[in-house]
Amino acid sequence: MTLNRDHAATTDHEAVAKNVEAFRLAQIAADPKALGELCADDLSYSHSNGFLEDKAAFIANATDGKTEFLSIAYKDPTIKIVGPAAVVRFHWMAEMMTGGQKVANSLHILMNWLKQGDEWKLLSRSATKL
Amino acid sequence: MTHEHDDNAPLDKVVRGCNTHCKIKKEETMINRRDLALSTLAVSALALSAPALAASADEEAVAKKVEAFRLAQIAADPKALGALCWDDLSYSHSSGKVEDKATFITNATDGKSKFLSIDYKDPTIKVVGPAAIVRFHWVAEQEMAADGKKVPTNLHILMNWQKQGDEWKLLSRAATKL
Repeated sequence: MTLNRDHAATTDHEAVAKNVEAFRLAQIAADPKALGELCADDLSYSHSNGFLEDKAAFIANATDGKTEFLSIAYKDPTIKIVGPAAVVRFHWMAEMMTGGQKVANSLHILMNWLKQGDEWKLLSRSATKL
Repeated sequence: MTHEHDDNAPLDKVVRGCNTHCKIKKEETMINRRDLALSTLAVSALALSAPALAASADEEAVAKKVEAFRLAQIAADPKALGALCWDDLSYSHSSGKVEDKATFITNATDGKSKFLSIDYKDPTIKVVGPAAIVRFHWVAEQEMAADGKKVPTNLHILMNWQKQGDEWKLLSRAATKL
């Protein structure tokens, strides 16, 4: 007998997908609180030029207003759950205003999420230009 | 409570109901504070040392595996590479090309190119529970079997290692051109 048919437990896969989407929206909104909640304290975040940031630097730079995201798409995302880890990859396509210019970029992203307690948090991220 | 009132003394303690600066008998304070400081230090050291030792043991274990991986890549050793990676390995290159474990090992050992050297410069290792974030500056030279051409590569690498039982194994890896 199955109890609570209507209240199916969220699978890890669904939980990670939810947080990845929340992260995408938080980046567009440049929302430091939302980004802060989605990232592990030990976050290691790198960019396509190799530039590396810890959690504080990432959030500061992502929300200082120097760049405004017009759009960010995470195309063809894949999520693989391996115990307490989730390997997430996608094709990032974004348009942003920076220094008064409209800039577009296309990157391959690797995100590594870690389950801390009941929450999935971003632990590391890297990007490479396509 | 009687105490000396020294209006020039720094505010050591505010005694309830006392609105003037109070100076606690200095010698007594020094002994008490020193004892307190020492015992606090001892307790903190004990409290911190256990997890700190564990963290550095994991760091050492990861460092060993990272070095073994570097050597296995140079040697193009499929058995060694296989033992160092999760079955769920997700390995990507600076081109964005993604390989699973089987494909990665096949391509890393098919003899089409040979690594003359691989350096993992300035590696950093951070252990976070069952995960380890490893980053380094990859500098390598490959020789193409077809035409003998030498190809240098200069990359920023992110490796994510994960503990499987007692063993650290590579779960994912990405590269970006520098």
